[in-house]
Amino acid sequence: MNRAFKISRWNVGGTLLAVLVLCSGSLRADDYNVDLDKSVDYSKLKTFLIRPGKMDSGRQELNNSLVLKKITDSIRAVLLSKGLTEVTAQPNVIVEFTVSGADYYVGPGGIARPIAASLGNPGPRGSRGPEGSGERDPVDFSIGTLVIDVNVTQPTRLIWRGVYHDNEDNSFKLGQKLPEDAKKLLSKYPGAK
Amino acid sequence: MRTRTLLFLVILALWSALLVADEHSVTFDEHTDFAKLRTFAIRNVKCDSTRPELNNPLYFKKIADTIRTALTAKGLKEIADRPDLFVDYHIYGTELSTADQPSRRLRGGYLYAEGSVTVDLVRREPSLLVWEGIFRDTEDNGSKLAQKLPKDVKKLLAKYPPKK
Repeated sequence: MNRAFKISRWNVGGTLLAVLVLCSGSLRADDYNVDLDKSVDYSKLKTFLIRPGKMDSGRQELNNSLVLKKITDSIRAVLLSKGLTEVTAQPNVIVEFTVSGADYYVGPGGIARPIAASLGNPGPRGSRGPEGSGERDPVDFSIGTLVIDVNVTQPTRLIWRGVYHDNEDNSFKLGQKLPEDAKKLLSKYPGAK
Repeated sequence: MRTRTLLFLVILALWSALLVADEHSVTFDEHTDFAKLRTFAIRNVKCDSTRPELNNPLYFKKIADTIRTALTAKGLKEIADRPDLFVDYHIYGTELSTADQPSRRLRGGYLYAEGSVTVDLVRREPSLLVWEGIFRDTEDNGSKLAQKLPKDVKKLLAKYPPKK
């Protein structure tokens, strides 16, 4: 009887663990996707130029030159480590990147909805209602999207795109994670070496 | 024993909802003799999505290549001039709250991605839609959706030519 009880507890424990493992699959995980032009010989593209990044976010912690510079530095470091050379004119490829950030509030019934970032209002708070109304919702999570494009020149044509969606508690953490995300994405770039 | 069965049923319920989430449909013109349509050209792409992994020329090409491979495997030939069939395709993708999908909500995420791909085969003369396949797919996120849609196109075109 006692043994049967122990076995039953093990089974329940094991099943609960299995549920936990299955459920954790989509638990606030980052995700990324890479597409490339398979007809291109990437090993021949040995020089690059990085265009200034674009930020689409009203959040000061994201929309500042330091975050953009750190992402640029990450991109540069990965491409240099792959054997490419940075040039200022007539590069084989031009690298462009954009970042957008969106804050979300989880309301009644678990409905997640984006909240407009209030410009000039630092801190992990969002806004709701008409702009300037003063209504506030807490930010439950923030998603940043980093898009890195690699284009060949003459004529300009997209040959590689990486998209990274980063899911963090707030925009501060997003700003810290994005340079790492850029590294992860560009590690998939098949160029040089 | 009852607890174990209950937990098993919970797991099954969580996953079965995901498994049945995708859906597709194929409609066609019953008066068309598909055996006579031997050549095709890929014509138009339309994308209704702001998601960067879906709305870009590399992704359009990926979908076009999947269509090309599938139709060629069926014995059709791609030609640029006066094909029997034009192929148009449409990509859609968006992000939704999991509140309307309890099984996804239980898995912990707040958002999921929903998308669709539509493949239209249009006869050149007379200009007439003769076959349409639509695949609606829901995935945990936009990246998974982008990776699944080409496979969905393949599944759709496996049903071409239609069996009357």
